[in-house]
Amino acid sequence: MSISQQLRGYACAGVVCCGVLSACIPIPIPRPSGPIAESRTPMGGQSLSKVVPKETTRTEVLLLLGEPDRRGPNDRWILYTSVAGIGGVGWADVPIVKEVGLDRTYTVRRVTIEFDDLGVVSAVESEVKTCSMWHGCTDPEGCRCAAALVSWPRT
Amino acid sequence: MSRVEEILISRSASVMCTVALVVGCQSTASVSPNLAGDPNLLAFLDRQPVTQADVSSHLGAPSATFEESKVLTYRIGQSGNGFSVIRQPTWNGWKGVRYDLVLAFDDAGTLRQRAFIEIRRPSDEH
Repeated sequence: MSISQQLRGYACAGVVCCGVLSACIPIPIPRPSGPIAESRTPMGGQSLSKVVPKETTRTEVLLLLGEPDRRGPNDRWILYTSVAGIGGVGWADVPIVKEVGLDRTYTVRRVTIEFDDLGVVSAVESEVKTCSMWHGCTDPEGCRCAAALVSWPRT
Repeated sequence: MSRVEEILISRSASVMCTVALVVGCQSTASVSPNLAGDPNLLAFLDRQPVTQADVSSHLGAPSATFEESKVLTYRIGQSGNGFSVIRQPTWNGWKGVRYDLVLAFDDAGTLRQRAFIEIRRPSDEH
């Protein structure tokens, strides 16, 4: 092998290393499935079936489902959200080693429970959407899943 | 350059690249919240009657209040058999939280109902 061939080889290796280390070249990594770190586990249908319009009170809902992720003025509505990643292969930037958000796909589950003046459930709205988005999707306003934002509760 | 030197150089480059990749991964590993864990943290709830003052002295400020402060919620973490109250900014969501403790009091401030709701399963931590 001649000196020029060696130099060419080192140059190529250097370009690849620099590309990877400066996060220009993503590498495939396995994506975990299940709820993201900031999200609750999706609530079971069994708990939700106990929430009955015109019967269940706000206190009973809280005792069944716990603290909500969002609440409206005077607690006229409360919102429970869960965001779970769909497993597979994602792309990571090295050395940041953080998955590129646009590449990820999530299942977003939202349950909105509305109450009347007496604090009794007046409506239950459940929604499941699959979308791609960046981080921060437990925050309704911050979620980039445009489809999921369409019918999010009024303030 | 001899053949042996070429092999040594190429192998050194491979090792260096591998080390760089591994160091990159390690430097961004997420840090779990510090859960001290007290197995008897919630034992006081079994000694009736329980007042709001008892709850405040044992658990501190709740994560949220409802119904004119007659319903309190606490975020609880678990480490082994021990429990701890998780206090974190809301943008952190439910990170590190295992259960939500919901306490409902009557008008006199005495505990009437409680619920210990699983928020995240251990298998969801990754």
